[in-house]
Amino acid sequence: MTDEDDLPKASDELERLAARLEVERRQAKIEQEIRRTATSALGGGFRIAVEMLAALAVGTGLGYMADRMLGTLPWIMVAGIFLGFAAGMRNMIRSAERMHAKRDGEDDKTG
Amino acid sequence: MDPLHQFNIERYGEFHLFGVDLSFTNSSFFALLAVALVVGFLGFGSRKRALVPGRMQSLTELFYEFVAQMVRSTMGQEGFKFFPLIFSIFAFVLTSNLLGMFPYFFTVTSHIAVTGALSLMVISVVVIYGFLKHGFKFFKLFAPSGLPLALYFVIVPIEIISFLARPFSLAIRLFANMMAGHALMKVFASFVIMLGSAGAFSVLAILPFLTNTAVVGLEFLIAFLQAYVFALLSCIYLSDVSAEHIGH
Repeated sequence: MTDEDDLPKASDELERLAARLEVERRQAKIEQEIRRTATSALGGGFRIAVEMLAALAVGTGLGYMADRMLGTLPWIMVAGIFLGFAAGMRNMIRSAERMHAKRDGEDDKTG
Repeated sequence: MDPLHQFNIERYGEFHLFGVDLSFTNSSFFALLAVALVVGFLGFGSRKRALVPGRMQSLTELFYEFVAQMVRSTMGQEGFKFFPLIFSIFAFVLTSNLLGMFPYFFTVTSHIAVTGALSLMVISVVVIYGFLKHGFKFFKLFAPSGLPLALYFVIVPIEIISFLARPFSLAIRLFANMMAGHALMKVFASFVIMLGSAGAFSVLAILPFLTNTAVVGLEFLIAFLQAYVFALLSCIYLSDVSAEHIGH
């Protein structure tokens, strides 16, 4: 940056600041909008539901594969379903905590 | 009238390499188009490198700052080395989602093959970076310290499954949102046509038409939101392994 060297005129400086301010302002508005929608109930609910679905699928799938290899169908798969359920719960609680932390942080900033 | 027809993959010419089908498809075309648009937009916007940004440059700077803010707030300045990755993912997903909003365009992100590949890439980076940074202490992610010994037999499998579920939930979330939304738009659009040709009842066609207008608006929101969520969750997964002390 060379603006220390060539002594900008006051009007130039002012114009630069105005443009910068405009960008910042627009950005803040867009971000606020996105935060609001990202933490909306529907979006949050869907995010959490997918978390459970994925963990259940992984648990069941791993159990099924282990069963196929060991020839013990369906016992490890049943265990996998329960473990998958627990893992899904864990992930759900984790993302719910994350949403809470984010919302509380925003309240601190605004209030 | 088939609402799922829009998800068909069409080959533009056959090309097989070592028995693998590598034909150029409409999916490849729109993926390339998305990349070209992103590169073109950023290149065109920043071509002047003016200190006082013009209109286009402001837009590109806004785009950059938005992602930079997200990376900084989740991973801190130290995680900024992942910015190129996160920015590329966000830009690609967002552009593909928005391209899919044009009538007759193919939505690249409505296929789990694409979203799955993206999420596997993210998880590979997470695992490789975790190993590079922590060595075998990386496995402490699955075994939090300070538990009674008996609990480890339950906790470790649960933690492993919950880690392995991450790429799945990342992939499923994006693909399901895009596919369901686009199918919904098609279904409501076909309601308009069906009701419109129903003689005296054709006035009722205005109802699905209005609904579809709302759904299109919602789809634009979802296109943006899902790109944001995908990038944000990638940041969060990366920040989990980039922490100084792994496992808590």
